[in-house]
Amino acid sequence: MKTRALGDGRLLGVLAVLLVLLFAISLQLGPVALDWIAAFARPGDSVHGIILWQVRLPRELLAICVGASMGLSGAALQGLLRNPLAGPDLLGVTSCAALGAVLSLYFGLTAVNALLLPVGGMLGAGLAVALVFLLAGRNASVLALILAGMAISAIMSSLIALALNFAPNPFAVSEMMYWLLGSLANRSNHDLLIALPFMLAGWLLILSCGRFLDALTLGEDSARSLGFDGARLRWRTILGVALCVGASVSVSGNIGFVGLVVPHLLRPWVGFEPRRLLLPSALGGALLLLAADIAVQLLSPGSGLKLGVVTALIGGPFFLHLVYRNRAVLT
Amino acid sequence: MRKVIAFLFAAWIASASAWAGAPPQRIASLNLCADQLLLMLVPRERIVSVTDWAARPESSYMAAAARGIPANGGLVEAVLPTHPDLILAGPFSDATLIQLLRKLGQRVEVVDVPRTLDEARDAIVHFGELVGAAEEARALVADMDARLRRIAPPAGAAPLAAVYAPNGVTVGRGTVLAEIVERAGWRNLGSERGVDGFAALSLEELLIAQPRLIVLDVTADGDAGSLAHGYLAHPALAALQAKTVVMPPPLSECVGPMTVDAIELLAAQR
Repeated sequence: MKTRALGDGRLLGVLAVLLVLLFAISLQLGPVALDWIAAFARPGDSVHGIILWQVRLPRELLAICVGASMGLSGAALQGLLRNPLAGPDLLGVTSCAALGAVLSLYFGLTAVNALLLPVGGMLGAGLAVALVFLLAGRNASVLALILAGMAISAIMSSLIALALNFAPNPFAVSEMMYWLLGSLANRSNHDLLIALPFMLAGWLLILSCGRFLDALTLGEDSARSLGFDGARLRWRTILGVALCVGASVSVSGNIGFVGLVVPHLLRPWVGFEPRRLLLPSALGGALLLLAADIAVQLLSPGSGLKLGVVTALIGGPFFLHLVYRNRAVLT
Repeated sequence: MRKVIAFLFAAWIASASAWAGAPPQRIASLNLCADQLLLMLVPRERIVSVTDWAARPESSYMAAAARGIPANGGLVEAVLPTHPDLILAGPFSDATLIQLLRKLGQRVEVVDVPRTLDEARDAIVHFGELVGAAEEARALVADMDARLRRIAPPAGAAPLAAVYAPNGVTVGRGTVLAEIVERAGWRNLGSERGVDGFAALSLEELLIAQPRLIVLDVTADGDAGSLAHGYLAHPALAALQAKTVVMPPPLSECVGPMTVDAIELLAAQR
């Protein structure tokens, strides 16, 4: 794999410009043609204003935040586990987060306090990362880790189905697709506001562990001899991932593959330093999810096509390609 | 085995006497709409069992009247011990259940579940004949018609109303909710968009139509959390400043006298 000579600043600049561009495009798309003058002139009391500021903006901002959280978590997990096939969904972290959110939403906790929704998601996410660590161990082979993640993922998906079947609300079962595939349809500013603080905290925690992840590439012992407190920093990274994934999943369901795909796509441009991969992965995740959302809007505006279907259609084949390329490591 | 044969024989005698034309005295129902008509038309001592939903105020218009009548849960083992001489099933009742009951010698009648008020008139009269309450059924229909005539035709052009159900679903032609909206003097957004039956309506499309009235079809307790109910609480809907009315499920799940209640409810919003 060749490393292109592109400075970090320039890479980030390119990604940021693309992000602004896609953001502008995504705001244009929807089942209704917007009257932009009315939307800006009377944001609160014209119907175009309401659609722009209360329906489309939260949707696209959530796409950016969730995408960034997933991209960043994927890069952090790949660095932490020194495993190219790690990702929040493959390790079962997203499914476990979805289970936490499901339990909190359908069994009345969210009615007590809206913040309990992301809290449920984050507890689930944290539990899953810890489980993967315990089951597969820190120096687990690529294969053991993925199999452990697969098992956790399967268990969690079944538990989500079980919880939805027992939920008191009769609509619960029909919402299984949302939790298993993810969607941003009909999200509001309220959803953005309850998730964003936790995502921000998660981003900061992960970004603060960059140098530790760099040192980890040399091995645990080398990291320790370089003066890093391995246990503390490992837990800090895990906490960051749990905050990012838990908050994201609780407001968007289980949108898969972003965390796996994005770090891979960007790695050739930053060399093989996990720290330099973090910020580009965040921007790249946001870009990928916005692009997927634009695809949903173009394919079927206003209908129920789930965002996670598009990301899985992009990510699934990509994952197969990774498995094929890594088959030497896997056997 | 002898007990079973004796039981089957008794059941056969019971059903044979029912065929002979005497009004059924031990009626069981497997359908919520049949439950409610039965409770309106027949004295309760002639009803041996109803569905689980009949006594629940969140689903049944006749919940108070149904209290105390055994619920059968659609199970053969709950229906048979009550020795019914007539079992009423709906068109969507479990076909294997009906087959089994018939094989066991029970008289099972599949009753029509009407989807419009015009269908309901005939269906109620026919239902009355079936359960031995023809007079009561005709009186019920006459009362419905009298109440419908009292709903005054509102002056001026009809304003727009939209039915919004959990998961962003709206209703159009051929649904009782559309009929309720239109008979109450509103235009129904779903019908005008050419929807037949049920169709997804995105939040944006609902907002841009700017309905004056939003009829929330909340078919479950909104306190029990779900995403579906979250959509109905979207702040953009509140910003639209349309009137909102919650349509109680007991008024819209079956067609009959409860439909007139629903029309009165929406007519009062004009």
